Amino acid sequence: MGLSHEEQHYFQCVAACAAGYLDRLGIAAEPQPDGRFDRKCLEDITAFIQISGAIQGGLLFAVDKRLALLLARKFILDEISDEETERYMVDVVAEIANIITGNALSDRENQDTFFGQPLMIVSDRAQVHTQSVTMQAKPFLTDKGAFVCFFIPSGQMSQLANIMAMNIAQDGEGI
Amino acid sequence: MAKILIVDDSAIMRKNIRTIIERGGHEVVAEASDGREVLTQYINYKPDLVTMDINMNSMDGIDALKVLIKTFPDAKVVMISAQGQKIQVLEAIKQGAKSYLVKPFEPDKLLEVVQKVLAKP
Repeated sequence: MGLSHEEQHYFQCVAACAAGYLDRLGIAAEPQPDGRFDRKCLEDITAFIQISGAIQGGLLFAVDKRLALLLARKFILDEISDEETERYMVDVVAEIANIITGNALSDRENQDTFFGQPLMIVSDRAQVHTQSVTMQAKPFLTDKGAFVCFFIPSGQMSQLANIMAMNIAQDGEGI
Repeated sequence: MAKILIVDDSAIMRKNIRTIIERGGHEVVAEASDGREVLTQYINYKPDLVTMDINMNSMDGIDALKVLIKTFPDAKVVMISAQGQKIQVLEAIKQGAKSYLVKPFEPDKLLEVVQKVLAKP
């Protein structure tokens, strides 16, 4: 099951906003071939945002830890220590995910799509797999590692349990 | 130097906005992380201006704005959001916000908006 035209357009906006935002912070993000998956390993820090209304599903922004640290240093206006950078990086990824998700809705005429607060997943061994639909992924590569946008469509009420399941890989094996 | 109340459920956004406001020569008198705290903080600290995020957990910024304006019709509120849809901007202005800023914004832009709103009667 693929994306509707509307969902496809929104996801393209999300990916474009993501690359645009990183560019704004002075981070070059090289787009990599996108694809459709039913199972994928996540990067170190992932924001999950539930989308509801005219577009239903879940957005994920998965960021390599090295990139998250860089994002924290660039996002926070004050000079911060290494310890503070580590402390802020998850919140920074959450806020950036929030900004990208919101910005991607800006060309919609009606206020018919809503998004929740980011749920943060911090693990270097997490995988996501969808129950009955394939998710779309748009990866980017930077000097500090990868950044991936995912969209998992949901034809019904967007409950987290219906959208995806999280599995922690044991010794690098899939579940 | 104006007294500013910052309302945002993101601690790092409050931190950044505080930095911008203080660099602009104003004083941050209080912060709130929830729309429900806005009225109490406004009464306690009597700010000259409020910056208010729209997307917050328990009570969103538009609802908090309505509550504030009902009690303090002259309150000067700048709404901040990641969404820049015209319909949302118009709703905020209709409910009494003096201005609206879309994230991400340059620090100078926030200060410019703050100055313009403070200058309004």
